[in-house]
Amino acid sequence: MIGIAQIINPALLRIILLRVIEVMAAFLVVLFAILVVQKLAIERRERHLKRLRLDYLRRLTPPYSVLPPPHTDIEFEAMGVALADRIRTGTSHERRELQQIVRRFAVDTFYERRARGRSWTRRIGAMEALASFALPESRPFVIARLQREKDQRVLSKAVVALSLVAGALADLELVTDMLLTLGSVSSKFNEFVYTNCIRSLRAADHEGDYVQALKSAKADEGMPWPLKRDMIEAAGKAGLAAARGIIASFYRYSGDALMRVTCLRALGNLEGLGQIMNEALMDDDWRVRAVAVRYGFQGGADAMPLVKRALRDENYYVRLNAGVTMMKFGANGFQALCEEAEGPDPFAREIAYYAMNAVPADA
Amino acid sequence: MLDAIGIFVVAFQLFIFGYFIILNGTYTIFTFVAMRRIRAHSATASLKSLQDITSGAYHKPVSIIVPAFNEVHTIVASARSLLLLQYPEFEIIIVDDGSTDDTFEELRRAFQLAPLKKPLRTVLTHTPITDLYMSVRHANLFVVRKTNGGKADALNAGIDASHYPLFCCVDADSLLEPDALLRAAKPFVDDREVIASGGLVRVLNGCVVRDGMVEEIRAPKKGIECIQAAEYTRGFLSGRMAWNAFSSLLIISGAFGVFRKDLVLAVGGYYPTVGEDMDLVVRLHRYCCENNLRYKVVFVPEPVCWTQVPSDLRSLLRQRSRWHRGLVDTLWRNRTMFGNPRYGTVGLFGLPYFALVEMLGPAIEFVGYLGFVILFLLNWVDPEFALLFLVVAVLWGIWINVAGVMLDNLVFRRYRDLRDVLKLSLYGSLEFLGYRQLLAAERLISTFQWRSGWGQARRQKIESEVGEKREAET
Repeated sequence: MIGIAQIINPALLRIILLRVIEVMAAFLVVLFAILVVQKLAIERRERHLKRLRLDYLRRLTPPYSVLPPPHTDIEFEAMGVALADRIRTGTSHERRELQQIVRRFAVDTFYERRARGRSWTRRIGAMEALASFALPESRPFVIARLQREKDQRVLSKAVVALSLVAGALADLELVTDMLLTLGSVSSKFNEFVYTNCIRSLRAADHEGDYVQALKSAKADEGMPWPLKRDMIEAAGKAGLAAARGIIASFYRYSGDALMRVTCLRALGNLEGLGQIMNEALMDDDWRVRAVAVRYGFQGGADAMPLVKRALRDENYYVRLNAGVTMMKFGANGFQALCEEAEGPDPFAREIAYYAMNAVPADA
Repeated sequence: MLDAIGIFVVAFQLFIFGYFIILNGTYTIFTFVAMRRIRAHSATASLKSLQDITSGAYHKPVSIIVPAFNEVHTIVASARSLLLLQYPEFEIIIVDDGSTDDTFEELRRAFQLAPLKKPLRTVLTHTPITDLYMSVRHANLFVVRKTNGGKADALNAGIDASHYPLFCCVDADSLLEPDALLRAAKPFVDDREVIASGGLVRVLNGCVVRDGMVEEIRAPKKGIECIQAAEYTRGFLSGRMAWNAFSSLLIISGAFGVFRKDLVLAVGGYYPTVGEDMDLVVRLHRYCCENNLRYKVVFVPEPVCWTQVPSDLRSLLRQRSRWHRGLVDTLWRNRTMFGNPRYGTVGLFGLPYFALVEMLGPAIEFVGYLGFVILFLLNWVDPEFALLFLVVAVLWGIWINVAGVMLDNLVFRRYRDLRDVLKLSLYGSLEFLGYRQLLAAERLISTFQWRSGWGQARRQKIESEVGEKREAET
């Protein structure tokens, strides 16, 4: 007999293997036990939670006085989820009434307790629930958590929570500070947070604070350009018309093509492109021209010759956008496209055909 | 002479024993790592965070690209399921890769396609696009017709025809859950470094499907499908989740993955190989490392893509052969990355693991089985040791597979019926009694045929009860 048994004591090897088999078998039994218990007990709790939530959702209609107060954790949890759902979809009047219920039944206190808990998964869930309630009264608590919380994942939820209840310039500054410390969050996340801030500030009649923050950002050399772009993008998305002036000044002040693209998009959304339309259409960078030409119709009949010229641009995207925009100039645009469709330039001809066939007039 | 044979036998046994410990030890560690990661992921990807994406500007538009070659039985159901996706802004581009059956006619009938004379900008290499169609009923559904060039070629054409900054590749025989795209695209808006994300692929066989939606989730009926269901669960949840944790995810399934278009264009799109999905991800890693770009390739466990798995042994062996050839091809073409610190954990850990365990694994396993039998017949192995070792191997294997099923049930609870879960666990346990050995042999043969092509696929019609439908050859 030769093999492993030659170099390891066969008796010892036998004992080791037998022990391993015992441990494996025990582990296997434990696994099956967890599997069955999970199926039978934990899923029953979840079904109960779902039933309760549906029950609360059904009862969360006026008059709210008939609502039974929650007592156990699972009832608080079910009521919290139901309230968050209703607040998200309700009108502003309903939202205020539902927020009062959150306060009346101390659902916010329940989640604030959880948001101070040891498990980060619980804290994250609690912070998300508090964000959903968007209670202005939670603002001091959220700010306190932002200053104490160490976990980045919970912090990002806390930033969202603060953005939904922001009421002053100081909140906006805190949000910006937190976004700078949050590492690799995307531009979309920043934009989302700033859009929330604008809406909250608007609700508190402090819209001007955001314009002020944009002015400070412009003056702040240390602030990263991408974050400034996200602030501007959010202003465009949230329809902050008061920011047109400062955004136009960002456009002129910047040598960065991406910043010009952002400003154009924001001003396009705010219908404030008028003054800079022509220079944008003649920009050296094709990305700027491609965006400018999309909003070309805002420049009125004066901009049409420049848009038409863009049908022959060296860049494919500029030409394509120009074709689509020409259709937005109505009968004159259509007529110009017909001329191009008969013209000598094969690129312009191709785009003109496409725009006339695929794009509805005044799209 | 006898001493030399003795040394060889001891060395052989130690090598096989060591390989066994490393392989199963890795799977076990992966299971524990995955358990932690999945729990953390579930906490952050809550329903509320998904609602945020659907409610405002907090999303990035996605082009869904579906390459289709002779998919007459599945293409309409698949397209319908994609149209039902919950996502604020997306387009579906079905690329008819020169089908010789009625794939296009089916699409034209179902979605009222009209020709679109849009000039296309060709950036990637692919066979010529002959026609472009748009659905009259659904403004976000396009069909690209081109001459046949293979899956990678069709995907490249789809990328060229797409409009959005992210694209999602989906197999024509797969169904996505309504929130799958939301969940798979979420990492791109949460983290600017994410360049690719892959979702969980589950086995469709046995489920009840209506109008392109999985209505009831059941375990497959056939044993061979059940084993694959357990295998998929383990492979995706334990394997990919753990690779994610080590920043070395090398595969995003071709059945369902989301990518940043600019980077895919930068690496030249898909390469025409049978393992085009893995090849693309490895080249993305390579490109980002070589250009010092901060990046992440992530696996997201909840977005579910349902796919049909082979229900007969022949198709299964063909599929695994294809996967293995793809793996060998990709590893060979990126061999310069092996053990190279320039490519971080991918070069130092991911690729060497895939080469030693996944590529050479079948050879080692096969030699192990064969050697064990020979040594046993020559009476050079202690029968008691052999028996005990076999019991350890089987128990450990069962533990790994059952742990995968448990992991799935702890977090996602897709299979509502306890009988289904137990059935999957049972069949998962049987994987080590013949199934694994058969696949090892097939993969070993494929190692020497890695230059050959795709071969024919068999498809089942996606209808009410997929598991009960008779197979239809394409």
